[in-house]
Amino acid sequence: MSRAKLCLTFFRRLFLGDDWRLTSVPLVALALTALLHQHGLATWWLLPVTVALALTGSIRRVIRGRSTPATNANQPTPTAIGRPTP
Amino acid sequence: MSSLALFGTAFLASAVEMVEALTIVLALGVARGWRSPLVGAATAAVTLAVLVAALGPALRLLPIDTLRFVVGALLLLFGLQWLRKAILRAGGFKPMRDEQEAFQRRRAEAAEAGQLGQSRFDPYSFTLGFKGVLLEGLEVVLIVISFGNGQGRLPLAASAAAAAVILVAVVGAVVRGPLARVPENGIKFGVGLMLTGFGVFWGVEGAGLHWPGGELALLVLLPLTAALSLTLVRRLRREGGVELASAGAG
Repeated sequence: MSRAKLCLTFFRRLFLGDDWRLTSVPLVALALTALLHQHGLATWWLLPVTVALALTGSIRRVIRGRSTPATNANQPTPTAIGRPTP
Repeated sequence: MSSLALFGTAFLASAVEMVEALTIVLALGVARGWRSPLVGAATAAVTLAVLVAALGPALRLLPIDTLRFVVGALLLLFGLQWLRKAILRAGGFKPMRDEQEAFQRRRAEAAEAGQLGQSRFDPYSFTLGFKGVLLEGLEVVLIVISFGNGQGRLPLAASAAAAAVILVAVVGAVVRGPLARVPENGIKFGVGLMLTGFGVFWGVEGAGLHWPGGELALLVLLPLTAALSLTLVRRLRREGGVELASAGAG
């Protein structure tokens, strides 16, 4: 892997993490809040609601993505998370 | 926000990341000698301090609303990631981080890379020590700069981070082993809640809006975020992840 690609991967993981939707959707909501405020709408509630939905959605995706439930400690780590435990 | 909450959040965020960096440095030191990993770690610490000194005042040049908008966005990015990870670990869908296991694994890797004499400079140990501290610390630096600047009290946040680094280094030097008893997930959970709550608060203020009740809105935002997070943990446990959490926590 080239250095540029390694750098990109590092910063993507640093800022977006394991689930890009969890981090990018609230940022879009934040931008939308600012935009709507410019048009005179007091949408202070938009960001907290989006954060709650994004977090819930992220956890739901993990639950849905897990193919086999862990019933004992000897079973392998679920692989739905996306990257190894740091 | 009180000085105590600012200090506590910056301190805990720094401490938990430095515990992970300490494990790397300890494993290198035990396996290959202490000089090079310590020099690497110290070089990284100086680099991080320079970043705080350069980026912190630069951010303060922004107008207050823009600053809070940027700070809110950064805190949301990191807070949500920390919170998600902590929820998954508490719910048993991600193994708890085990410092003892990480220490043994890294020590074995370092030993396999070839043994060197104690007096020689070891590029392998220097590089891994430097990288470990720099990468673990970079996120903390951004959190400290954001959190400190959001309140206009960057020196306090930076002092908290420095105190955490010194404390972890001193305890590590005394114990000469990984700090396996630090409740990392509990700390990450708390810090994630604070970062997310304040990220939402400052983000909206930075967008030019005002919260109903002003700063009192934080007293609603933080408990609601905590309640949602705990509900998600319970949901995960119901889905069968709790056994993994118990097994990994040991």
